[in-house]
Amino acid sequence: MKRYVIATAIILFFAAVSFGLYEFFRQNAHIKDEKPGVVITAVDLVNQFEKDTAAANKNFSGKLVLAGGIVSKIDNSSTPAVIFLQAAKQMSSVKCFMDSIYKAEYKSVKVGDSINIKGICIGGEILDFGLGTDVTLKRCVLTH
Amino acid sequence: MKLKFFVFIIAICSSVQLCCAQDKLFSKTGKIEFKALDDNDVDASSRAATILLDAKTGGFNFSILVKSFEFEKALMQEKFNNQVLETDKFPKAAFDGQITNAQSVNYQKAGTYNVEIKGRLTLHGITHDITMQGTITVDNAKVVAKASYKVLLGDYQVHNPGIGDSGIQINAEFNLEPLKN
Repeated sequence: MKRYVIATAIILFFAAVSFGLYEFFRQNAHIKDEKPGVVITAVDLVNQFEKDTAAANKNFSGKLVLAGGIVSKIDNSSTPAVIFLQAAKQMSSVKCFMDSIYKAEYKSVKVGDSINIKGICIGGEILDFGLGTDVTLKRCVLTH
Repeated sequence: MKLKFFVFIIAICSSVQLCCAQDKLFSKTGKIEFKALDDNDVDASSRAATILLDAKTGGFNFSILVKSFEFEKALMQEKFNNQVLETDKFPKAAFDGQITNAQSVNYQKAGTYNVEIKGRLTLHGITHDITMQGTITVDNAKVVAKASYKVLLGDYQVHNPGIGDSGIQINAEFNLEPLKN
């Protein structure tokens, strides 16, 4: 009986240590193979935030969003690269922070291309000083 | 040959003037990094800051969605968002300030200018007056603003033992472009 108790305690100890180490070293997940919770155009996504920011934040924040639109700007001066999808108003956009692991897939994207990008929506904000409304997606990947 | 060189110099000077004749400069991919002074694991960065600099008045404003910060370790990121800065409740951090020595920056002359920026930093729903030191670098068609500041999380009612007890060093770098009206 005592032997079983000791064996169980040892197994539990190693399981706890393994779990702790796994959690400690766990990296942020890549979302390439995950199914989007929302499919929407970039124009509509920004419109939703312009109409009611609080409601849109509730509806979209934390969700995996697939947004389609026209590339208005690309900033790859640093990591991660940022691809802007055009919204209805000139200064507004969906800001897509690309997952650098999949750089080979998005490096040929050009301004004016029509593309679909999947990423985790972290919210949107109506900016002051005429800077438009931006919705931000992170860990983004191109989808077809 | 001399004429070509002269034309080249004029073109460079014109591009600097063209760029910086604009009163307002902005960026939507401003980089902000922070690092806890007492814990190497608390180290994150984001390129999601939006900044507006008014070259005429010295107005200096930026905001960032706090969830845009990426940590190397997922557990730290989750703790930071859920327990430390409660980003669902307080999604944005913002600074609204002024370069106090704005007149010392010549946006039409290449160089690096030391600046002092005073203003109000809002973090975790709490606002405090702060003073940051920074530089503005004018180089050909580019203007780069940098600023740094040490935040004591306790000042912003962030009480989470073990994370940034000795303060968090924040470094910001913004590559600015003219705001077209």
